[in-house]
Amino acid sequence: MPAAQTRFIDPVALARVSNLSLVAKMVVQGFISGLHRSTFLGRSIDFAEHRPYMPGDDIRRLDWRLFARSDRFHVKEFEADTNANFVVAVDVSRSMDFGWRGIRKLDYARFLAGSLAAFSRSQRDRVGLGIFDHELREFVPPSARHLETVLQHLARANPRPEPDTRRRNAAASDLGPPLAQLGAALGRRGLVAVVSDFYEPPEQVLAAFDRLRVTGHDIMAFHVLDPAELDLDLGGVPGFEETGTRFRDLESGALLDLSPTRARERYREAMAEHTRALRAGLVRREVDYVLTDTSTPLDFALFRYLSEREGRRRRR
Amino acid sequence: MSFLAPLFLLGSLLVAVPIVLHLTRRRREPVPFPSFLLLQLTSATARFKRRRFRNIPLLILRCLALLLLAAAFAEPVLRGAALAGGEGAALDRAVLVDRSLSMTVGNRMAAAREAAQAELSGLGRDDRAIVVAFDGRAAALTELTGDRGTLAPAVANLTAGGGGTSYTPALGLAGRLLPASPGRRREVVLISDLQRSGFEEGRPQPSLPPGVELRVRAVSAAPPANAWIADVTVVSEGREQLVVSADVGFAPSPANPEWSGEIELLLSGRSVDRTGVTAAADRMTTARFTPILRPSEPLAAEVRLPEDGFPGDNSFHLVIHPEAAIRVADLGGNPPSVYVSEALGVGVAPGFLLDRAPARGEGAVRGALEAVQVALVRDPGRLDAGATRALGDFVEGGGGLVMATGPRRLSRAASEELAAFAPAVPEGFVDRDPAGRLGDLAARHPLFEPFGGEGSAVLSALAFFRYRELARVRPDAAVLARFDDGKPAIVESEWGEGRILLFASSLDAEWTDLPRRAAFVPLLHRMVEVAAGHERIPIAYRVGESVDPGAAFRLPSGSAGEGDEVLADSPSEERTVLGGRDALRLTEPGFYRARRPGTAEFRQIGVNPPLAESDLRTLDAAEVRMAAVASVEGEAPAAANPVAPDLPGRAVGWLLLAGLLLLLVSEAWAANRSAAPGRLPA
Repeated sequence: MPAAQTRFIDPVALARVSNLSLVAKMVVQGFISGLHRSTFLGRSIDFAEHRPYMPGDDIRRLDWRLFARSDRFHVKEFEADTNANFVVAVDVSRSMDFGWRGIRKLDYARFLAGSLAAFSRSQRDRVGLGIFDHELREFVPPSARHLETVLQHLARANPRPEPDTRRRNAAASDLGPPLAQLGAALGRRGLVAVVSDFYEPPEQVLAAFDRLRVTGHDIMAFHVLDPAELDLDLGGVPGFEETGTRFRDLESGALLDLSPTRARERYREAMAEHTRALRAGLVRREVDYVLTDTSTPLDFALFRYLSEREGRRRRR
Repeated sequence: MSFLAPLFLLGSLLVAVPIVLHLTRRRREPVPFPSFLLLQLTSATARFKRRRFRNIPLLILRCLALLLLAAAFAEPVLRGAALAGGEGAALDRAVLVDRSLSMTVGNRMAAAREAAQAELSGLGRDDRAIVVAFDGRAAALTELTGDRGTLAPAVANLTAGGGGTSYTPALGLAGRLLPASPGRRREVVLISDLQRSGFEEGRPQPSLPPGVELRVRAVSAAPPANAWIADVTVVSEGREQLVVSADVGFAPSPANPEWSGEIELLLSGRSVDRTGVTAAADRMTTARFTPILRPSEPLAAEVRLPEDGFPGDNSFHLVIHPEAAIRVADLGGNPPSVYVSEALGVGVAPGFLLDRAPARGEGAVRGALEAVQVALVRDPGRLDAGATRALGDFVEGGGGLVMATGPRRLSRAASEELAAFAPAVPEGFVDRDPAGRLGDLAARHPLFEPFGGEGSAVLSALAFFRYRELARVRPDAAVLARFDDGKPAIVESEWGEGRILLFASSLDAEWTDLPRRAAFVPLLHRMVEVAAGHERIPIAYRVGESVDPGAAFRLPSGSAGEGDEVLADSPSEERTVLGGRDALRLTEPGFYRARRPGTAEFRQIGVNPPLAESDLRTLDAAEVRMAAVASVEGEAPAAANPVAPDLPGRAVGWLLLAGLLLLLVSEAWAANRSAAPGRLPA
């Protein structure tokens, strides 16, 4: 895997590029150039029209028959097999405003959502956007001309500045209302990608997805976590001591004194159980589930997602 | 364990600072975490009791470091339980009584005796005391005893002498005489006029062993106005006369800001001249007497001031010896050199007499050299072979030769004659631009004695634009000075009974600025004296000096039967019999007399008080105490309790400091570890 990973773009390096549009194109172009050597090449294209040859066009796309007839070079143009709606929904709750080992989860989610949108647009899909925390905060309806709008909204998306003290006693955010609002806003069936850290009991997450599924949408779930969240290792953070640390909940501002040394094993088990329950429930609902951490290259995440999705399509 | 400076223990209160800092500043911000959804599932087993103090090991290190620092400043000393001598413990007391010359001022000595008796009468039944008298030296007058019958008479018989004041030997002796004994306190009482000059600058200051208390009792009121004779010089004037002059110093008092009076010259006890002097404050005034005839026998002289507040330094004793002036023949000295004649025209007795003599013709030169001790040749090129040969014979017979170089070149014949006896032969010119300097001096040679420690600096400032290269330097010749190019500048050698000094440059001002410089007169004087083999003997001495009696009194050699024994009488008629190698220590001002056994003829020397004794400025008791105990490493001035000398009392402080250093290193390491740099999560 490490040798293969070197082909992918490090998220930390992407974070240094402030233009989200450029980031999305970089990821997608790299990703597509990878696809040229993959099994996806040539699938789902139909002839649309001819156009005159321009320098830089792939000569394999020259129509030699037409050349024989007209003595002019023409290139064959193809149309994608789908013109579906693609909406990416990004969680911007305060828990996403965290990053220790790599970049912030929110930045990673932005890059991922932007890359998905750009990739979908390259497949001639109409792209839209939903930004939510405990409610749907922004919505860009899917359109063939909305890619730049989607990217601009993504670039501006940020958590609310203050913890939601009303939710201090709540266990986690509630995914149900925003996804229900999103489902209602989407008129036509399409593909919905939800990017979140899913800090919510699995049953609530699944229920929220159920409400979205009833509208007939095809759904993907991207579970984004920081590596430190996976193993509870915050070594080097000021104030973090293995023997005893006071933690502050980014969502609610609540405080909790814990000994990481004693808590780590139990925490890892809980995290594994949480992701396992999410994966099992979502797969049962035919929702594509991709767990990724912020140190994973974005195009690699896309690749994994498409591989999984292709495998499932074949199995269907 | 006790502390010499217990007030510093209050510094231990500073431990509150790190405690407060660890309570406040070290309290860190909570660590942000995305969600407690999963984290709180673990809290049942992983909760911990939040400590009020952060980083307790670091806090302990810091508190310990501050406590050690306070303890180290408080100067802990170990004390054996058996040595716990408190206020009620028996006392050993050394009573140091100043008997220097300055104690003759007013009733200081009587006051000192009274104070010493009071100290002795204050002793308890088990207390002991020892009486030490001191001036420049210190001597125990009794043993350490509790017998009042021994101690009181020793004090009652004390009188002031003529010595200077030095506290160093007295305090040192007292420290040695008071043994550290279990259960006994030790105390030194210094009774003195506290003359400031008793603490010599640049010399080791007095020291007392740890645990010895010092008390100071001053017996002086404000110092009176004082005039004194700092020095007397005798200078030749012409062939038969001498001029005596005296330097008079004056220290004013508020009542007497000026001093004027008559200064008197006595020869063999008879007043021969008086002259008025008005002395200004804090600078020397020179009084010049009418010239006297050069004596034919050693003549005891005394210069005397009128009585003032301190009569002890109003007389200056000296002996004028009947030496004739050193006669010098200036060969080829026509035209005469104004520099040479003026330089040799002045000088401390015996002085110089300069004659002109021919430089050509062997017979004429021999005739001219018959009556002189030293021949001076300013330009050897004037000499012919015969004159040179005559010079060689003159030196071989015991004469001295001082030879400089000049513009004329030596004839071949004269050069060969000169090479036979001279340390070197002047050859071709060496021209220097910029000017050459003297380097590499044989600074210890008597030739450079007048220049003292500054000799090299004074002589190195001379500029030489031309000189002659000295060739054919004899192997037995000594190069006393070289130019900065390494060529010999002054060369000395002996020939027969005489001595030759050869100077590579000129004694006139064409080639060098030497004759215009202040160094010229003493240098020429010493060149002539060294060539003549003349040994300067002081005309007067100071109390405290030790002298070789044979040389100082100019005694004839001892007879075979009596050996080199010398009988010396002090001014107070105290006789000392000295062996051949014994030195005579001068303890009183006045005239010392000495003779060989079996001869009736006495020779005399004049002895005067130490110059520093005339400075009656005093220190106050606190200053003396500070000066006396400052050199005692770490000893508290008021340490009243005895300290066991065999216990490492002082080592405790060093151990604490070493521990402190170790703690600071540990603290730095621990602090670095706990404050490893990190990046804050969002």
